[in-house]
Amino acid sequence: MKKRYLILIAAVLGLGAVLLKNPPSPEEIVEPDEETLTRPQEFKKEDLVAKPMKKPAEVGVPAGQAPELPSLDEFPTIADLKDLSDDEVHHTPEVVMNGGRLVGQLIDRAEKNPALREKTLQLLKSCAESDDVVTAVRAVCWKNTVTQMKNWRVFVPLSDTKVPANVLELSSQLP
Amino acid sequence: MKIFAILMVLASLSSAQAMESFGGIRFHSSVPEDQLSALKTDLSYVFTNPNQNPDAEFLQVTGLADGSGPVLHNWLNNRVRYIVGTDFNIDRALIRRPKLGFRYPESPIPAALRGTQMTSIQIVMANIGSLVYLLGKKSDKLYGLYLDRRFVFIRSTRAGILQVGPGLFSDLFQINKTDPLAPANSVARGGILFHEARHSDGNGEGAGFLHEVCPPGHLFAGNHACELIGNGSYTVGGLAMRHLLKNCTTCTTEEKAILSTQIADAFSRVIRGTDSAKLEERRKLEQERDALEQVKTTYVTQEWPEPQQAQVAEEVHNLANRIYQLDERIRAFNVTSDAPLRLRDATAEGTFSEEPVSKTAPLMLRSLR
Repeated sequence: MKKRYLILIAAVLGLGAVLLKNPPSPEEIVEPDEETLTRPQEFKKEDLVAKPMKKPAEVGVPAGQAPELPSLDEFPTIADLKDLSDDEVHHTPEVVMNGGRLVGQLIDRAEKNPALREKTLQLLKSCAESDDVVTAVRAVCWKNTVTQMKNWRVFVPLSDTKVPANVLELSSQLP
Repeated sequence: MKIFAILMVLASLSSAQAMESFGGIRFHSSVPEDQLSALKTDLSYVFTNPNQNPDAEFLQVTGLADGSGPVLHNWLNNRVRYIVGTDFNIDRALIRRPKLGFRYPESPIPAALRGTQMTSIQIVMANIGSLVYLLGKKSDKLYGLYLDRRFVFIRSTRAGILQVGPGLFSDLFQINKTDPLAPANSVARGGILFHEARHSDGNGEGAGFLHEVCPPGHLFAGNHACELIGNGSYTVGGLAMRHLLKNCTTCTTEEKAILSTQIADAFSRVIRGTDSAKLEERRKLEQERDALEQVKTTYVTQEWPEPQQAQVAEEVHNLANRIYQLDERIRAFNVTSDAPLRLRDATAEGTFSEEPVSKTAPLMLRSLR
């Protein structure tokens, strides 16, 4: 008899533990009606499965100790982003992020090596002015041209700049 | 004893399939362990956000009372209830049944969903809860998803079921590639969470805050990757990222530059409409003038080394001339007001409950213990 009671208590405790661990919420219905649980015909799996990501153009990031700065060609261009699908452009494409990474690396290098600062600012200014470079990257280039010129106290003439209004506006929204 | 053993095995099996809850958000078993760990870190990062430098525009657009972590987490928590993995098969999990007592609001569905060609819309939305709600509304049936032994019927855009996309944890998209749990990665993923959470809002034509096709001339022309309003997902995601970045004390220069690029990219998808080409032209001139004014101020307020002072003085003179010319051209425009971006009614559609901070904060505190 005792053994049976023990088994019964264990069963109740076991079920209780399961229920406590996963309490049903009001929004959930635990008893589906088999007859009514059918899948809608118009909803297709392939519509929701993300396509494989295209590999974006490589941005050659300079080696940490290289004395030369990269060229303007290494910033991501509009041409690099042609023919991407909706899911590839839903959030920032990798190639655009690499443009930001390049800007950050340029600034880091110039922070460590003041001799590079003037050339770095000129490159950032060229990046902001280039119609080929992706707008978001141009905005970051312009933001850093102005900010670092002040931080580094290195003069670069900006009155002749040809940065369009949309880039200036984006730049003004950056932290 | 055999029965006892069987029951214990069953109990352990069922708990292995159960969704893990963290800070009030349930994670489906399809979310791999490393991604689960990273998402928990991100939610903790948002919750413990120091808020020393709140972003006023972010608070205004989202309607948040303040920029503190618990308030941010509450906003997310009301819009994100479940997270499923990339491998989660929506087709297999999708269920439908007669509406029974449930009634959809008598409002139109978004124009993009009215036709039969819905592929592109489905691809851009990782907020699958909102999508399934709208599909149910379209067919006038109650749709739901089978999530780890639970039938979750979707009665609102606020169902808050997000699917992790293949890119979110890809090495290619990490800000800090060496440490997936680095604060900079949490800032980036936090922005994406806020972006997707916004898709849980809206009603009628604006339900789900679906993206619009980018216009000709835009970098993503032809893609569903833009919005024509001032409070959509790209704006919310960009502002959230900016708010988190402003408060990131450990982000490196490189990380800040990449995050800034993501913020600029998000804002570049917000398409400004203007009443006329004339207004747009004037706005461009004003922006150019303001930018040059900023540069001039930088030159003037800075103490320059002796050899550069003459060059700087000449540059300031040139800038002043150009600003004067721009002012003259701006004055020539006989327009008095600019067209601000339209704001969409963010009130969510359907049946849902809005939880207060006093209820969501303890959930996170319990998870952090």
